[in-house]
Amino acid sequence: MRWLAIVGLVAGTAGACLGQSSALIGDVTCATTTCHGNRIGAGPKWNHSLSTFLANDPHALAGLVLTTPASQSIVGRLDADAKYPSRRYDAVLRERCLSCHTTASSADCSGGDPIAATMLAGGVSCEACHGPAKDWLHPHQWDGFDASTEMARDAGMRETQSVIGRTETCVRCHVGSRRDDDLIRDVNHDLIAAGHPALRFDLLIYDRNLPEHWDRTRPNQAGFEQSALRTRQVSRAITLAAAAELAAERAEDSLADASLPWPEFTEYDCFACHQTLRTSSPLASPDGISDGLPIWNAWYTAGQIDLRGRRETLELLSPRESDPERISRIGAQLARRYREHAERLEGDTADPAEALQQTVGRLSRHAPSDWHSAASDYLLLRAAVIDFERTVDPRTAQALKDAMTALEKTLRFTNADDDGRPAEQRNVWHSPVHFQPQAFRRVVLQQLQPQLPVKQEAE
Amino acid sequence: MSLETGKQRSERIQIDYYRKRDDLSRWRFVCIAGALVASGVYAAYLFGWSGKATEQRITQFSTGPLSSVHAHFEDRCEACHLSGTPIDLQATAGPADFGPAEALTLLGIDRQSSLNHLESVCQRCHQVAAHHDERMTQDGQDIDRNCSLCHAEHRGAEKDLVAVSNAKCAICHQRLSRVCVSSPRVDESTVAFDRSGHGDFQSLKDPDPGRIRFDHAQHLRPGQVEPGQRGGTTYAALSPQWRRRYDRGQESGASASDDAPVQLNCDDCHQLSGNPEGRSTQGADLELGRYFQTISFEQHCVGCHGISPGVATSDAPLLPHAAPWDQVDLLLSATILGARARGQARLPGDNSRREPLPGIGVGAAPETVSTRLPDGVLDAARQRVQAQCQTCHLPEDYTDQAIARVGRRNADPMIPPRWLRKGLYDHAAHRSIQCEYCHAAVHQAGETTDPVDQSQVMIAGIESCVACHRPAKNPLPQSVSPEIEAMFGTTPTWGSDDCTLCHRYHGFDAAQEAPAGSVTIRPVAAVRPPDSEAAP
Repeated sequence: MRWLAIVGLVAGTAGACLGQSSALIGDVTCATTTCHGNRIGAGPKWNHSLSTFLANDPHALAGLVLTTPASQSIVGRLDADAKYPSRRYDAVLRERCLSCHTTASSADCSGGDPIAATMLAGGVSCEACHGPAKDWLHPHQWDGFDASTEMARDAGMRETQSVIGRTETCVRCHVGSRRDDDLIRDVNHDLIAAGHPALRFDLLIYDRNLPEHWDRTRPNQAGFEQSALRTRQVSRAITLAAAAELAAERAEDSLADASLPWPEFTEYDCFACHQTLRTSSPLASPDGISDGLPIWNAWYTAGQIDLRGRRETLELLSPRESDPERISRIGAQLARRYREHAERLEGDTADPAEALQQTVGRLSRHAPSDWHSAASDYLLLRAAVIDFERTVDPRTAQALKDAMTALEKTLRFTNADDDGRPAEQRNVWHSPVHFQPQAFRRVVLQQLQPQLPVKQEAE
Repeated sequence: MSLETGKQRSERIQIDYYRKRDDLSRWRFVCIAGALVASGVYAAYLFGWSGKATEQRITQFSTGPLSSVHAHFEDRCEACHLSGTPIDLQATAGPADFGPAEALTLLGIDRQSSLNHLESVCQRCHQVAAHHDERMTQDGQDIDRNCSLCHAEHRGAEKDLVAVSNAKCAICHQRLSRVCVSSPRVDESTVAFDRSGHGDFQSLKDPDPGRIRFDHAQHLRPGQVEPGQRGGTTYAALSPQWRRRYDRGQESGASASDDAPVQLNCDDCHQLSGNPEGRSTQGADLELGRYFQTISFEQHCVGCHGISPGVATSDAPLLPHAAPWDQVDLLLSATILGARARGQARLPGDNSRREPLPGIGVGAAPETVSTRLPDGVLDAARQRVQAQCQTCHLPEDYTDQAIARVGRRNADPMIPPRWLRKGLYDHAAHRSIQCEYCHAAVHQAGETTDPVDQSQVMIAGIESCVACHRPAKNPLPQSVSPEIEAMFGTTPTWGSDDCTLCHRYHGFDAAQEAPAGSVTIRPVAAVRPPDSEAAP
């Protein structure tokens, strides 16, 4: 076919430019004005999707982050001899960072060769999310080629239009994976201890923050547009599945390679351990006494699995009891179960008013047990409000927005040791040390609840 | 049977027969005497009878009145003719084996003097270019110097001196090797305008020298995509400037919708023009419509294929075509940094977000904008630009060296501006014929074949011409079906098959082979001055 020759030539040259032998061909093939590189605003969304991405998407800058002073500090903690710039520094990046911060193949993530500056400058580009393009670059131009079809999957294209598909795409980096794409994308405790921010992925937040290089009006985007609440519920189920799967993969790998850390502490509530001794514990149970059992994958399980009410399960999953074989089995089971759950949720109809009433009602009875629990409630309320405010008058919608803003501020991390030192030098960083569950509850009851319709009691 | 005796035989002829005139002798005498008398009367008429008008007497010396273009020489014979020196008319017939010329020297007619004179008097006014004289034998050059061989005068005021019969061309071209000092560059024998008598166009015999990847058929399809292919260019993708040009409905108030595919026509890119600049050798070549305007990126491609700088914000300038790479780098840097400085692009280290993240909040953007691009950003941006170059160009054609050779942005597209390099073709004269008739290969709508534009010259062979350009006595060939005839529009289906309809003699071919702008014109000084011809 006539396009194949041109596309193939460009792709081949692009691949050669990138020094890649994998199915990755780089974003250069997308950059023409008639494809995805037109000026922003010109033509349909797809026509300037790359331009939009390059201009405003943080993913495009993800590779450049790896050379900032903060990253140099992180790498220096992982390997004290890895000074920037040096081959050793690049070796650390290849082993730990490139898989998520660039569009890398497995070959790129090993070896000791210096990293091309263009690779870092390229950041996380098209193929990182849409899949290596070598086999779908040509077919994707034709009618009938849809990312949701088996043909597309066989060609290596990922489906990013459905809530499940997009979440599965994001979680490979934003939760982590040790299998997908033959890459290890694992922000483990070593990396966080070195200074990497903890991962707290939420599709709805990330989706709303990205500059849209896709067309929300297309029918295949209906899953996102119809209900923020359902989007959040479905995506959180997938996110939990991904976290459970990563836990299983870590467990399997630790059994095969004793040098890998186990138990993996990033799978537990950070604030269970990282809390200041000078204040009341954010982990404190309602009776004010810590049970010493950190919540497993707190960000992901909050609001989905009531681990606080299952002491035996907490024991089973706790670092002191953690058995890699058992975690591997449980993780795989949980992943399967929550993927199935997500598929069921995707077909359901979400009722934002009902969700608001239930959550507010629960919070009216008792405050959240901890920051993660409150954050989970916030996410649920926020999604329900997004849907609900479409149905109310502008004044009420604004009041709802204000309430959610106030609620979000109660969740903000503050620094107990904020004495003017740079953040990376503080003892407590990104910690809910000052979180007050009652304050959170108060905002819900005083600002949010009055905006909600009075629930009619059944006769 | 009686036998004639010897005496009887001798008596048959009288012994004084030589003293008597016989009938034949008498008749011969009468004729000679009559001729002498008539000559004397005619001489008296010419030179002695002043009552006749000069014009009438001149016609007695001439073969006819001058053509209208030379009418002002009508009573100035000396402008062209030398008194008392006859012209070797046979010199116009070619070399010795084309006509008996040598015998005329017995009459005092000098061949070389005639040749020199014929050429010099014409070149006083007509400084025309030569016709491969450097490749001709002496005989060929002699033919070339005889202007009147093709442009015979004294044939009346209506005589078109430029109209040259095919037979004149065939004097040399029916066996070209006779007048060439080396192997002819064109067909050895050309005797008629058909495949057997003329051969196909030279451009079709040579491989396509084009270096531009271009698919005509694709560009003529709606949205410039193949049937079943997505991603066609829509009118919404065009800037207002280019939309005005390509959306023909705008003038009539029937604009195409934003999501309608752009439909190009041949004349969107191929616009009638004179001969490409610097390549003209004939005034007539500059006539509007004889050729098409040279295709240029800025005129014909940029509407859809503007070179994106990558970070292509709504008001980002597109990159110039064929600019040196250091200029491109500068513009890329300016575009990226400029977009960031104006808040149109995200800054490195910008952690701000609209939707707050629990615990983190909405983040913050850096307070300062770096004026330096991080390593690799420019190179990555340049790679994206180079990928756009590759849409049409081979990699070796957009190196700094290649760009420097071109020397300007709006360069010719490295393909011949004219495919019929040996002959003239007037597109304007054929404008009512559908382009598809001669350029069928570019109209493959509905087909999904590989493009042949790079490997095949996209013009039809001589068959497309000879259907109409045929001897007047020949009917329209049956191969021209009513459907094909309908493609001719208002153009008549008969046209002359004269060589001169397409070919020019004076310097035309030489100019095509010479560098642009250089034309071989035989200097007048090289010809003996007319005055010197009178000298013995």
